[in-house]
Amino acid sequence: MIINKLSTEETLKPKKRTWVTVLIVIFAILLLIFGLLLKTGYLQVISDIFSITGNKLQTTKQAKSVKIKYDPTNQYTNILLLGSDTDAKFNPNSILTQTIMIVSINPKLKKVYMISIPRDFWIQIPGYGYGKFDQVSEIGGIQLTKQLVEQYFGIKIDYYGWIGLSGFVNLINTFGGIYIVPTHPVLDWSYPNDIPMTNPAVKNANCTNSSQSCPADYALNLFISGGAQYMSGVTALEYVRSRHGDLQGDFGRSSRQQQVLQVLKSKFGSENLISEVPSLFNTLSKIVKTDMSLTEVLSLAVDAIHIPSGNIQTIVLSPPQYSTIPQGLVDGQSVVEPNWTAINNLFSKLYPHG
Amino acid sequence: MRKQKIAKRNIGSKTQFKFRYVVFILILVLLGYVYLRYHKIINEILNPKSISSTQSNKVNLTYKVPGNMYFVKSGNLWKISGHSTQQITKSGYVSDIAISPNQQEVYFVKFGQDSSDIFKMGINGENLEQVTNYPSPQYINGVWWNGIYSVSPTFSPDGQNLVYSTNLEQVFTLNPVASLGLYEINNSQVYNGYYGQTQLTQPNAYTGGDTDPTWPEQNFILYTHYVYMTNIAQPDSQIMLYYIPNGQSYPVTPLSSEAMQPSLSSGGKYLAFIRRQGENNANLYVIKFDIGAILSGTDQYKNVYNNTLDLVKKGIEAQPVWSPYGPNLAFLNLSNNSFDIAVTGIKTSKTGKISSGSIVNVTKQSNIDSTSKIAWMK
Repeated sequence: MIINKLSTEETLKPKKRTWVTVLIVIFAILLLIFGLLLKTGYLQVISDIFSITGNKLQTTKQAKSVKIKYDPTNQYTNILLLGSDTDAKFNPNSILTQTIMIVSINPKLKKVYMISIPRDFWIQIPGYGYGKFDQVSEIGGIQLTKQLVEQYFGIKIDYYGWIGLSGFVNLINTFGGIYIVPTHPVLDWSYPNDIPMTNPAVKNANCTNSSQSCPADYALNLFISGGAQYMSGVTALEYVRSRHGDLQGDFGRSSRQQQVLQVLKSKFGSENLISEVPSLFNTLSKIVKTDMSLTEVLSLAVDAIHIPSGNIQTIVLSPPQYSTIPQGLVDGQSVVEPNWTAINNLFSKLYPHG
Repeated sequence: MRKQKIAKRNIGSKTQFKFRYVVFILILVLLGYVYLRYHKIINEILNPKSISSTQSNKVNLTYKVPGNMYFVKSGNLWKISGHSTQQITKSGYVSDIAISPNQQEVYFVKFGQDSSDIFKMGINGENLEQVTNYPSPQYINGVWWNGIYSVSPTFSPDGQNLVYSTNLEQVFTLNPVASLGLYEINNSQVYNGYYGQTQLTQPNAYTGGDTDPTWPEQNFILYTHYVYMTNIAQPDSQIMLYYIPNGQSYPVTPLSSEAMQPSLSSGGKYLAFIRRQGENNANLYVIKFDIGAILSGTDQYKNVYNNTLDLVKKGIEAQPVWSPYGPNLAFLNLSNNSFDIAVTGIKTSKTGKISSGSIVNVTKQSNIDSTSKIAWMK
């Protein structure tokens, strides 16, 4: 019996030591993983993800306390989206904004408006005189642009987002490209040749094969097929930027920009890209200038996902309804004159007070 | 008693021993779950990159179709025969394929940065020849003139002619649109307005023009006409019929149909096409085709909105093409971020209603180029 007892104790002792060893190893592994996650900022990101997916795992006060700003008179959160022909986003006083769009989101009513303001809108700019709307940011930066949008359109701008050309290409590529149905083929005889194109070798060959050097203002001849297709970042930029082959010119490209935004919104919702937030945030922070925090972006994105596509209203303030194109030049420029009566009526209907 | 205590202790030790193992295994499973759940995110934090997965150079066949099917993937021509696939070209610049009716030659478009031309080669990639040779981009009198695009070639039923879409006529104007040009294969002769020769269509300025021709019968060509509904309004498209005996074009679908990429079944009973609907849907439609009604201008609206088969509602489809074996339709269907070939049968009930069989995927996750036609030959 004693032998039995001893043998039992002897066999138990090493197992106790093994168990303690296992616990120490597991603890060490957990510490290692925790340290790695802390170092990479992963815990903060996980916290942000859970804060917008409704999961109870919230580890930061910031995630819990996020409050989205909105216009108290109409309950819409209004975001001013700006796009320019330069990527110098931290020098805002030197850029023209080729794209000016108000995106308004009302999560309670499940409504979204995308309203494109023509860049050639002829307006009075304080301290400057009359000028085009795209000059405002060049004159007074994003602050003056927000101020004039609020003044002319009677809504409060809660946030802004700005993106340049390469930034847009990166944005689309970050989303893995888009699947889109162009309204018609795009043939543009004068597409600006100012960012790296899909096949620069061919372009350079065109220049070196001629007896003349490639001129500085050399423009590309663009062709994009109609019909459903995949677009990479570069092709998507060509699609939203081209205007010379479009009967509607700048107004036509505004429609195409709204179309791409809607595709991105659908893609974000249908592919459950919330789990890709770390990658998106990492990329977006380098290419988009905005006054929104990560948690605000994520909260708005989740709100937008739950809004049906049929509840998204797209409007371009184009002729003949909302503006006119005067005969000849105004102050030596091609401009678009706003029809403020029609625009005010439109905004009163879209954003009823109270 | 002592014996019993030792026995109990042994039993207790064994239970604890098993419990510890269970806990240990549970911890391992938990760690494994955490790793599997989030390792992708961790990877992306450590190695930021695009969301897109790399597109493999592989075609996954899931269904056997009769005959041979040709398509373009990543700029290369591929062929499906039975259960096997074959990559015919490797250069990566092929688009808009057209197989000759005798299946001996393939015509295709080679895109450059600023232009495109039509080339041809043997069906296995041999004997490459350039067919059209339009001016390259050139610098004339201080002005840089861009190149010419020629796209969407398609054969006449007798194989003697090729019709395609080109912006050649508008090369020196500021309203670049594409019109249909004709290439007479035996005479190697290009007809188009810029050289003072005839062109088939005269599209409106700034529309994108006339594209996607298909030549199903010797005396008519179907194509997509891009247009604006009013002077400055929504862009639109409709399917037109170019009637060769009188050189006139007739609407097949109404102006507001946003229809494109027509394909007529063998024998001319059904017309398949794509309709752009909503902001980003491209739905596949099938209607009965009646050339008499089209030429008399009486039945086009009825055709589109009544007795019409909407095959895949709220989807993204492209490039329908009919089987040479009967009323079976192949098309590209976007699913899981990949355009793949799908097929279905089309029939008409005794009451005259058009319906389809089940839709079967021929390929899976193969990322086929949706801007290029597919061809289905015997």
